[in-house]
Amino acid sequence: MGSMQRRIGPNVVGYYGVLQPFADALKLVVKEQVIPTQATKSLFFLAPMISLIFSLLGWGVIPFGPGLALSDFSLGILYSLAVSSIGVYGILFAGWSANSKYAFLGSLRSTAQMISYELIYSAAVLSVLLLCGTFNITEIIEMQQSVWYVLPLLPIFLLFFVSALAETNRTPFDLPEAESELVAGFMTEHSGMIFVFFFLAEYCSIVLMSTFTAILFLGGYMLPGGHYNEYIVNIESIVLGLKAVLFMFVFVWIRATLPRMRYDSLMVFCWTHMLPMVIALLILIPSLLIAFDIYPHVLSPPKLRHYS
Amino acid sequence: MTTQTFFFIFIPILAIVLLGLNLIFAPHNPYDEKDSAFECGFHSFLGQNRSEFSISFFIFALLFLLFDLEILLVYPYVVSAYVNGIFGLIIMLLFFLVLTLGFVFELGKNALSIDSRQVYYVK
Amino acid sequence: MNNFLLDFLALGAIVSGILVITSKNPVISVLFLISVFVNVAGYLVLLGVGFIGISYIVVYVGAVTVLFLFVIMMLNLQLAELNAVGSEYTQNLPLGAILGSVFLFELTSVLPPVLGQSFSQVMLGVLTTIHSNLLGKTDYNNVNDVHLAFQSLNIDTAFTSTSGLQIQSIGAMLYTHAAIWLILAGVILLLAMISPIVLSMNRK
Repeated sequence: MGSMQRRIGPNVVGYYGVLQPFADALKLVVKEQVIPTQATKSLFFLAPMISLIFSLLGWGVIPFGPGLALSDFSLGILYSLAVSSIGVYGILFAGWSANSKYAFLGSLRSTAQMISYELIYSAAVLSVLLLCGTFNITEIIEMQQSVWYVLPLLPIFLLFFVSALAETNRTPFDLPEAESELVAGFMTEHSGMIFVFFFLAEYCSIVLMSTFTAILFLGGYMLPGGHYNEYIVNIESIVLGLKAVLFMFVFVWIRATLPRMRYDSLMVFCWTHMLPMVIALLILIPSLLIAFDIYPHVLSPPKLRHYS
Repeated sequence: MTTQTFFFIFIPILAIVLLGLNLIFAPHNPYDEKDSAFECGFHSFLGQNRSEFSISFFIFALLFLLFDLEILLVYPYVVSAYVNGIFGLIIMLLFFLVLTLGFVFELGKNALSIDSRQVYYVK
Repeated sequence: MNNFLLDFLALGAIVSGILVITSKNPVISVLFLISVFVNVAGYLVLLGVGFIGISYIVVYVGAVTVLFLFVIMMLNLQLAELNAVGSEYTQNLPLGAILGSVFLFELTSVLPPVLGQSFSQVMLGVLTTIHSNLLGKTDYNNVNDVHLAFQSLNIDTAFTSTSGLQIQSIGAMLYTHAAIWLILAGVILLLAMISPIVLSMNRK
């Protein structure tokens, strides 16, 4: 990001500053935890743990190869949506429990922003699912053998990416954690390890959203020609990693380039500009699929699956 | 024990272990100034901390609930669209029409704009 | 393992439910309400109805309790005026006893008692008599009859013989045979959308 903004970023720790985040995290582990006197202690410690736990739990259904997920759940997409819905509570309880007005207001705004863009997120995922016919993530990737979904669903891809930016509280939607406006937003009173939890939760969800974008729109782990990997080496996870890295680069690129949006224009943008567009696309896509009779369907019902 | 169960148990344990690491390694000297809430140097009063906020947040949360329920009711259609054919499509479009009417109503009433508290002075 | 986890989740749901009503801080109450929903959703997923379980988390935990929390935080309750002491507490006890015993009657008429065969047969005899006098049902001959009524494998395979997975069969039914209920649900959601906006509008 430093080179994008033509300034020297951190370049002291490690080669070219690569180890800076590790040094930051290690420093924060040994810092003291200042607990404000009027805080509700149980919620104060619980909130960052909720953020971190649910950011990490979302990784359970990402496939790193055909069928190679931690749990190849037949309702995988629904599980990811449920996990990102619960992640909102980390922020809400953090702001409330710190018992200071700035943290509280910051957390309210951040929660309202996250739930609004969560709607656009689920609707965009719904549009992708119309082309797949299944909730299982491995099957969604396998269905992209002929064409990656970024091509037919380009407006959905753009809407999804914007909502992923807003879900993870990244620029240009990062007013709730903006360092120059509300001190640190809902994280003001948290220090030491629990701040590391929020920090880790945010970056974990950025990586998760990038991977999810790569899975839904680019091919996931699929090589461009739809070739089947017959070797022992799992090339497909490297392909998934490269596509996720592409989106992470775009996240950082956008942060280095765009200014912040004001909160009320951010919310108005979601509800009056993006939501009608996404509803219109949700009406258009099944109509097109019915009109040309190109729905995905199986010719015979699949065998019974066991949910153990 | 399946992989999912191990995963579900491992992650909270990891979070608790990291928290425990901090409690072991960090110094702990609280005093009054440090423990009070941060307000760029001012002292905060006890009663002011959790003040009321504008109603627009409630409207956002409510509208999110309703649209989330709508999207949830469309999930079964998405996987069974072929079986339902054109009839199912028309039912889904009717359902969306009903909810779009509500959405148009609230767009028209401008229910989602957060009012600015600035007063316009005429010079 | 499955049975142990089912019992554990059910116990967690009951304990969280009790803690919802007995905790002092309303935000902690809502936290335990979230815990109830998560436990019940896990229970439903383990029973085999995965879609309903996860939709509990998406809708209840993701939207309904956020709404509850916004309302509670908006009200800015002072804790000192919430706790009932002395005579305010004791005058509510008879009503609580009546409602509790009605609920206990409902519960024991559905759940099989598991304390031992002879006691359960006695209880079943009592309950069967009450049921046949009040409601006309005389079927419960054995404790195991109630257990056999609900098996997760039957739920899993009940719909899947012709139309594939469970959620596909829900969709197939909901959008064709039960379409009127879907449109009715849409009208209810429309009503819920219009009314708070009208109630909270500023009249200029």
